[in-house]
Amino acid sequence: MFIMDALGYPRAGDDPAGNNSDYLAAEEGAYNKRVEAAWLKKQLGDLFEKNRECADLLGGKDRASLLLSKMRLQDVTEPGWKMPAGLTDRQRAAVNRVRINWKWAAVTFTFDLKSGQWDKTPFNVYVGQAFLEAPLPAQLTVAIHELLHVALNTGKESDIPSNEEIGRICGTAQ
Amino acid sequence: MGPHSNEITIKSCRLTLVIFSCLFALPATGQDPERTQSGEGLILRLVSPKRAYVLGEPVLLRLEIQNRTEENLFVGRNLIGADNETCTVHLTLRDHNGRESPHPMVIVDDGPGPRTEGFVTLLLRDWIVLPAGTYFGATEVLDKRSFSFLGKPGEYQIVGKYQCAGMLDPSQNNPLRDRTQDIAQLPFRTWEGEIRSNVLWIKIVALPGISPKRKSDSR
Repeated sequence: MFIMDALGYPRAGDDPAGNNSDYLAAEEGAYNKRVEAAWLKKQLGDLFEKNRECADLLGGKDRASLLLSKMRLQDVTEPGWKMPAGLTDRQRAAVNRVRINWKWAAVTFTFDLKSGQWDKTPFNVYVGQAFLEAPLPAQLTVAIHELLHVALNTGKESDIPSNEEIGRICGTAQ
Repeated sequence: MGPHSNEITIKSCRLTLVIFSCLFALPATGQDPERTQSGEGLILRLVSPKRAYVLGEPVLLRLEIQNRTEENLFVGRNLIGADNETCTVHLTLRDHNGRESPHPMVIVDDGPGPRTEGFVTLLLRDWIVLPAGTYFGATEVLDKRSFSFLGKPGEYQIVGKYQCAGMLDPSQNNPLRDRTQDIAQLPFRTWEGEIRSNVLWIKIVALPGISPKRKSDSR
């Protein structure tokens, strides 16, 4: 199923009824090649609400909601955007690769060594040009992929579902 | 307090400064480089210009990869990399009891589908040729944001691990994973494997009367 249909949004060319300010903000953001963080988070929230199997990837609906509430999406292409103060050398290097090398996204988070789990503190997901130029289904896949790194507290790609699996289960891009 | 006690205080302060100056001037060279683990001719060495740092002062760490083989090799160039990198140096910091310091996880990702850039562009972004007998490196600045233990006085050991899964690493974050034919044309082989560095000990010292900088974000 087409992701926008699954989420209940009108297809391109349809009248968005004029009342949907989120939709219009997203359209404007897409036109300017910027991401509307609140809108994208809403898409993810709706997706987890409607697709239990997708939410289960992150440990269930409650866990997925918690992750979403703590995620801060940063569009590094936004005019005037500045590298946040207080980043480590490795975090800065990662963000710079999103800015310069067209990596899609970077995420940085802290975890509790004893439990081996994400410590439930807010975390930043940085997105750049490659992410912004991608269609929504691909953006959703990557956002879920970043959430998975946090949810499972792992840097090993082999420990988390691939983009193909995410796409198949969540109905997003593979 | 008489003039004598003032003099004693000044002298003891000078003595403290001399001791600390001597201690701080000693480089932490990573002890014996021969004790570093060499995997098929590569060596990872950690060096710090000082053995002791004042609490709050950033710790400088040089990461060096040395090619001890007699052939030129492609090696991953992102030494200060993310935790999910195809090739990078991973650092661990422990206190004298062997407890590992918390540190942030850092991830960099690509999206679905292949990268559209040319092979040379992708190659140069992540790889470097390390000629036989030479080394290259990077300087990483560490502080309590990198390893929270650095926010308190003590002796700490730092160990590095260089891991490289090679140009054909199947990870979706490796943009060269499908470029088998291009990779086969390269004049040098790629180094793959895992090596550990020397064990580097550093000391974090709280100077009496000097409070640590609250935010060492002068970079």
